[in-house]
Amino acid sequence: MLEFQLETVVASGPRIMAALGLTIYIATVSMLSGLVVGLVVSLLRGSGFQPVRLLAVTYISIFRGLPLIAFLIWLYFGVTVAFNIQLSPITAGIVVMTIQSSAYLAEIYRSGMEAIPHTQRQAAVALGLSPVRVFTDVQFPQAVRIVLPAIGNEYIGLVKGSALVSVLGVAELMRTSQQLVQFYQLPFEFFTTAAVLYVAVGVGLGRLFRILEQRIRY
Amino acid sequence: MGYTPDFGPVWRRADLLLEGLGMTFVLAIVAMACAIVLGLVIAVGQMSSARVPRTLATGYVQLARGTPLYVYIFWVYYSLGSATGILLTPFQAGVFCLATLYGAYLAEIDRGALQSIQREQREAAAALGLTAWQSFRDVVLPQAVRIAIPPTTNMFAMLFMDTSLVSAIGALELIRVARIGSSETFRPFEFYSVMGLIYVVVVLVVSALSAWLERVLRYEDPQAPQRSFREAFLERVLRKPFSAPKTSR
Repeated sequence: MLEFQLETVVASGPRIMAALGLTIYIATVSMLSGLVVGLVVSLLRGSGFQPVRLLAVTYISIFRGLPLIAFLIWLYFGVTVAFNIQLSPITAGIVVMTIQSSAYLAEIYRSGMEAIPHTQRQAAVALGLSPVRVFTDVQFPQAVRIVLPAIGNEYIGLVKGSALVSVLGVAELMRTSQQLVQFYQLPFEFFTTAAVLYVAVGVGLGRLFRILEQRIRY
Repeated sequence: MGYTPDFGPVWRRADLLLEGLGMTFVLAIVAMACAIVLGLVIAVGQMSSARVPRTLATGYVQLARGTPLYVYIFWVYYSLGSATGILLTPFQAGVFCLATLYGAYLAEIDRGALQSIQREQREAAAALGLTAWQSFRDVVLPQAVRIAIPPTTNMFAMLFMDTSLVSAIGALELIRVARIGSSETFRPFEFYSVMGLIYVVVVLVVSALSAWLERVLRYEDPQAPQRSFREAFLERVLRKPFSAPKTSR
């Protein structure tokens, strides 16, 4: 019957941890750049000029309907060939995940801003606050609180999604696990370890964001 | 420099792509059917007054929502076989993984729909002498189904996208056939562009269907919130289920 060969997994510990580090790195860089690009898309989406608004909606709806793995393959194996672009697999992974998360974050920002009653803005204006201060001192602090759990979910989603970058040959957690499985012929041990690590990071990030939420309560 | 795209090879191998698309649909529909049944069972379990089914169902949903599908597919396909001796084909493993995870997602939708049926209705049913089962089957379920169908349809769009992950264990679905086609013809850009376009179009069509169903299945209740098709469609196209923050509106 089955025996879980823990020693082999422990012996590969440093390699697995390095791979986990790369997973978190890819997810974090994509998240941070996604936050910036998402803000731009969100502003375009709220533009008063209809063609710009339409452009933002098209951007979001295309990248929502394109599976991450299809996008990765299209960019890395298709676009690079057609346009003769040199792209490292990690860069390709980060670009794809940035674009995809920006599409979701744009709408998350919007719903956060929309959740604040208009009366607050009117009151702030009546008190003589400049438009910038209305945003930085009244709307933004409240919107952050509303939006933070959704951003946390997106971050956890990116950690899980980064497993797909293994398709391009990046030695992150999933790819490394596959290599170890092949080398030791121990699929159960190494895939279980990978799954547990992904879930653990997800739970950890969930906790972190809950603490953050409580911190910024005022 | 100057790449001229040539979609000729893609049209010549359209049979291959159609075969892959067909397989993707079969995979998605079979997994969805299983997930719908599983989701309803979990939802009923979550709402049970008995402690054991409630704890089991709630724990299941939490575990499933934390599990990355891609890792899960590999885990089931490669390690379950070696651990238990059960050998699954890529198709079976794909259906199993998609159904068990989406069952948990759908359970959330079903639970919301079941809980939205007011308690008075069940009380009225009991007063009329219906048994608990009759009241569930004839009063609660028919109404809850109407409420659950549009978001369930939207979830199908998500599941359709996630069938792409089953390509990694070798199921001959859309991604896999596009890879075959592009290596046969040395036209990766064209094949992968068409492949991506197919996903986007299917997902948009299913989202539109979901938004349309929301209007069609709405009750003739003047107080029920009414949204235009456009609003409902935009919400689906712009947001990931469960990811958007809850707003008070």
